[in-house]
Amino acid sequence: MNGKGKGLALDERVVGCRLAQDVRDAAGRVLLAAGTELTAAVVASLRQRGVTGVHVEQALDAAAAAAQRQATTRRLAHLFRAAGGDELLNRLHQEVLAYRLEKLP
Amino acid sequence: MTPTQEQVLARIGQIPSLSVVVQEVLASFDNEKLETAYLVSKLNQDQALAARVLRVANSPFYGLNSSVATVSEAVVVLGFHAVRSLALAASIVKLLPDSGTQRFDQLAFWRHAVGTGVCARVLAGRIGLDQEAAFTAGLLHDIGKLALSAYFPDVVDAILARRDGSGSLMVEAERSCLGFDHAAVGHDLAQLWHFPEAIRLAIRDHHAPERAPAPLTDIVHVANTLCYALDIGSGGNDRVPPLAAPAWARLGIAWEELGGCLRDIENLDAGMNLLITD
Repeated sequence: MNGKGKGLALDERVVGCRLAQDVRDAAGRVLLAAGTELTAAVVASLRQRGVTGVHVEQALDAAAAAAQRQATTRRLAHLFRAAGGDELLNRLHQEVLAYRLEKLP
Repeated sequence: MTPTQEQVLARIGQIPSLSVVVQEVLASFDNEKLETAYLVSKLNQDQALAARVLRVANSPFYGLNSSVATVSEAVVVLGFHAVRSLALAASIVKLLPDSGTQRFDQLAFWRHAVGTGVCARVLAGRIGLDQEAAFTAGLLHDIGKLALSAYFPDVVDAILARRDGSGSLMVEAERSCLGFDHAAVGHDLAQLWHFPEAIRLAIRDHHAPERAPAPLTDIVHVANTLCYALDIGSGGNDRVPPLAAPAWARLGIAWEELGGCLRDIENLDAGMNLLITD
């Protein structure tokens, strides 16, 4: 992942992208945190607030994408490491993992 | 020396009272007939509070087409209940002093608190319960941890060492070190501040939802676990706490619905975090 991301004008092309940097207002206050997914409603709202461009995460190459999926899987395995035979926690683990992986490239 | 629960209560009794404005806003959770004009007039008496509410109201997550400049406008566009819970959250976030121990990560704590509030709000929305009471209860469920870290930093250091040594959850390490836990301390604080009963009980029983089953308690219990599963902040644990099967079953949320809940939670959480960032 590129730390700073790619600068793009705030138009329909950024819908579905993830912010690589915080979006701030003129006073420097954070309007939207890095990592947030840009939906159509959020883009429209940012435009209303005078934001003209954003930095979004760039598409990953296949190796980087695979590494990110592995890291996500490992982190969740760590968080759920005490689940043992707890069926409910194991089901939650699977559901959250599926949700996380679906969001990744 | 390890304090007794009575000694902890005596110490937190010295925490500054909630302002009159906040107390009245809080009491209004039990008053469905409260008028909008009353809430607006109360919030306008505390400009710092009003400013923080407006900041969140203007976050892009509310998707408003124009900016919100006054508390009255915020009530019109966001709704009375949403403004009330935002006001309450914004005031309590600023009330307790900073932690006295370096080992307690206060920012991670508040991220977990807001995240749990957001999880609770989304769950409540799915099952048709009061979303704003759920947000408030979720936000404040671990307030006892913050009180302990602010006023008994040495004790919290010992609890953290016990947690690390045994691989246990914070709540287990607290019971082992103190004989009681942060949920009990939070309940004492909630009584001191005259929180509505449902919120008090949700704070007390969020690790033991079978003690006195209630919808808000079930929501906060599940929300706490979801927040850890989503890795949003940390209330002092590096692992997902257990999910009580009866509490999960009582909520009646299908696994197929969970993905939609998680998406809503992460979107709303980014906006609500403006309550705790400067």
